[in-house]
Amino acid sequence: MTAHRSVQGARGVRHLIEDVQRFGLFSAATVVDRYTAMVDRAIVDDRLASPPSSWDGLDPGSLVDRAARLGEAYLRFLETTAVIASRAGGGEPRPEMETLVLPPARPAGSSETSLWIHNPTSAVSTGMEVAVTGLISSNPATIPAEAVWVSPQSVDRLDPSTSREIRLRIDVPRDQPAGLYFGLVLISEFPGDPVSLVLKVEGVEEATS
Amino acid sequence: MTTVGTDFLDELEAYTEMARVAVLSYVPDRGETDYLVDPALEYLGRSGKGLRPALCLATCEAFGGGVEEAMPTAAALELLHTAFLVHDDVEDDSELRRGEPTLHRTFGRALAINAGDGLAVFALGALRENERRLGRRLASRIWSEFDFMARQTVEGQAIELGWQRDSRNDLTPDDYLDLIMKKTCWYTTVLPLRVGALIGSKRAVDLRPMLRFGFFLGAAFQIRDDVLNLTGSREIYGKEPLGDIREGKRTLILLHLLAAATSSDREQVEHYLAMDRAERSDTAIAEIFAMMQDHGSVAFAEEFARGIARSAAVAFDEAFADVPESPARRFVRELVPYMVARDR
Repeated sequence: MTAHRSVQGARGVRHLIEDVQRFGLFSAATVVDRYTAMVDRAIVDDRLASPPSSWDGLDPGSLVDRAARLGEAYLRFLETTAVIASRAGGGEPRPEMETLVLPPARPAGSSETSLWIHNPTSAVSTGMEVAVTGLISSNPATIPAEAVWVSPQSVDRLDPSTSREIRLRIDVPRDQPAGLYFGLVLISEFPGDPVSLVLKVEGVEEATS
Repeated sequence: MTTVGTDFLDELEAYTEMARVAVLSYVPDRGETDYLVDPALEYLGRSGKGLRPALCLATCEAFGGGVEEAMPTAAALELLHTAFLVHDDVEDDSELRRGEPTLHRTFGRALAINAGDGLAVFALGALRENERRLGRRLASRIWSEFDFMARQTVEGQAIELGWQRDSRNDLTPDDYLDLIMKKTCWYTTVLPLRVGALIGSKRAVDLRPMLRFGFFLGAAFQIRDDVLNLTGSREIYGKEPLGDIREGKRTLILLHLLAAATSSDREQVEHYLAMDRAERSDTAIAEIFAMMQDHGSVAFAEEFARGIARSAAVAFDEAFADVPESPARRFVRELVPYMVARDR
């Protein structure tokens, strides 16, 4: 049973998550793309049902609504935090995990945001490590983990009722295809409970319009 | 354990009950022989989860339609699903379904297979009603969606059975994901979402994000099902435990074991998979299960399901971005954690 137990440890779970992220979810995204093309060919009148594919044809009211909704979502995501207390004791991972949305960026640009770790417990938390996976999209394309900058990468000590800011920056490679990219922030304190990372890489037309 | 709210379960029950009444209205209660109707009604009378009709009805509501508009489609989904179950149980020679003996063990294989055919025919009757309720154009579109789904599903089932027959051990997670897209996701989640959105929006919807959400949601469902088959309670899960190992199903867990096992363990697994089903003893099955635990294969599948569910949560936001908040929209979103938390 040793192998089984070993994957339950923090490091094992982290590697497990990274493996799933790297191999499984990438494969899943490509399956979706393959079937999207297939179903469009098979059900030929699909285009009759398609709504406008761009902002064209939307009335001003819906544009305002959409902008307000995006703004609200953006603020909410910026406030995304990792709270130690709610996950103390090795709580089970949650599929409806928190999501951190970075500001959109264009190729050769960068996007930066903060993640706050709070310790509202009465105990000192020590030796936390923070890691970020590479990002994947359904294009399929990836942004390698080397393009992600995290500071600090470890928090030696977090006293009770204190917080620590973690800065994240993604340097988008020059030839990166446009699309929505997904990654994970992994914090050793709660290894099975990562924070989802979302970055929109804009195409040239979007960035200049 | 991820928790699922009682409100959600109440709503699921409400959708399921509405659909159950509709489903029964398409099964003839007179004029057809009991040799057909009795076995056809057997599974419908057992308490299933009702996920497929619930997802279809809730999506229709979320996109602005009324449940009555999508009811024949939801009923057709449940009837076709039940037909698939009957035939699946015969193909796998399963013992239990929803905690009771399978249809072929109760009525015999021939009557069970025929009842499965009958349930599929009843589904056609339900779909035909769409013409009257929704108009010819939308009804025709829904028919095309069902046609595509059914072809995917039977092809997926054929692939799975073929892998077992040919004792294929060279498969990867890619193969598995492709398989479950066909055999499970299309009729469990993708189609209910697509047709629900088509009906609710009067066809004014982009279905591509729905496909993405549906696949991730369905994959989380299937992988959780694979795990429950090994670790679930017989009383709650309702199927014979370790049935997938007995049948030699190429689940993600088995594929992980084949990849992660030491050479001697892998040899033992391959030897087991090469056996005829009747030769697979309880002891041999228990040893394969122990290996799956020792090599972290079950843990891998559990994390895979959670990872897919996370992707599903993101894909939901994309697919329902323009849909205003409502109880139906919330219900669909809450299906995501439900898929990986369920125990039946």
